[in-house]
Amino acid sequence: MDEGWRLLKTGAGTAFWNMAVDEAMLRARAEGRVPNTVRFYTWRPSAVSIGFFQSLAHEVDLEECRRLGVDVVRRVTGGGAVYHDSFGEVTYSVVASEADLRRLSPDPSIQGSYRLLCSGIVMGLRLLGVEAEFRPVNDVLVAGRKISGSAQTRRGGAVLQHGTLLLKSDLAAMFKVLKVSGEKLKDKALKAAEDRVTNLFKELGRELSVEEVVEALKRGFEAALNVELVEGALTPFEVELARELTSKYSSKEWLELR
Amino acid sequence: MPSGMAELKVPGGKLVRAEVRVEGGRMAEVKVTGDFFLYPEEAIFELESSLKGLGLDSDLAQAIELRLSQLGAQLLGASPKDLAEAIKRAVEAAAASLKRAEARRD
Repeated sequence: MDEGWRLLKTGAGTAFWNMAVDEAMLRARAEGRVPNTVRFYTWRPSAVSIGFFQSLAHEVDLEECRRLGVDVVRRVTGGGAVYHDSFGEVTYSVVASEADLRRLSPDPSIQGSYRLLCSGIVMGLRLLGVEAEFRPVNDVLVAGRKISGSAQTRRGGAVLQHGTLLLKSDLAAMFKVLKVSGEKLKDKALKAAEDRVTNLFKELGRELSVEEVVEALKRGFEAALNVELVEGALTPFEVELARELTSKYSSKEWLELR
Repeated sequence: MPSGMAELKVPGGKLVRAEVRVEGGRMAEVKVTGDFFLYPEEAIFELESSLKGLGLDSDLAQAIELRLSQLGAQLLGASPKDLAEAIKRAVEAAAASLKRAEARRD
């Protein structure tokens, strides 16, 4: 068993606060101010996050988001647009030094670190009775259907990977707020998504609480990383930095970056 | 000024979308968006500006690969070739829209 990593359960937050906390943790880790950390959280209100490289205008129906009270935030990480339903998913983030991940991973590449961190999800799912597998670049699948997606960035020798695990999906809501290439194909896309995406409710036939899923994921990450997760709190440095970063994440300039 | 857009679905699922503005037979502006990964992320801006001014028949894949290696940047989920192909298609779309505009004028 390796030395302790920090466990954070920060509960429900706004999209802007959630993304600010992840970046604050990354920066604090890069400066050596905090230990490696696994954090769990949810989104309130429901929100859309888009990848760093995505075009806001092409990905998100902003009017529909306003109408439904869904926040929109650009992530510091690449990858795709995600609809984060308040009650339909759990989000995790891992912040660790690159050196520690390289030491833990048989494959030292970036792709290898995705596999390593996603194996925490795979093992957590196994504890819930769901057999899943990692599929490069950044997905976890159950019988070929996506149940979890992740995204990663690196800063000053530290890695941030965050991702979601679907508890139940409101695909209809998702398709209202996300744009599909070729608007006319929305019906078709909805059907196709139902075949491509799954969630814990579909797999287990019962509704799981966020707490139960977080507990399984915690144990999954402990097994995958061979560490003990010790519950802690954000440091005053991280809280202060996250407050500053919240204004970046809620700004028009950042949202409309691309 | 003619501009064009093209989308490329990379095998494995990532999307690369290129938007270009063409001026005097050269690329005046290039924007590459999508759900791929690039480390460090900020390298995308330097990559895009390095493509400005290139001729329309330049070896884009090579230019992209060279610039990324100079920046110490790494693509994941899409290759320099994928980005180049999307940009090439966007340039063709720009040329086609220019042709249509000329046809309307005649």
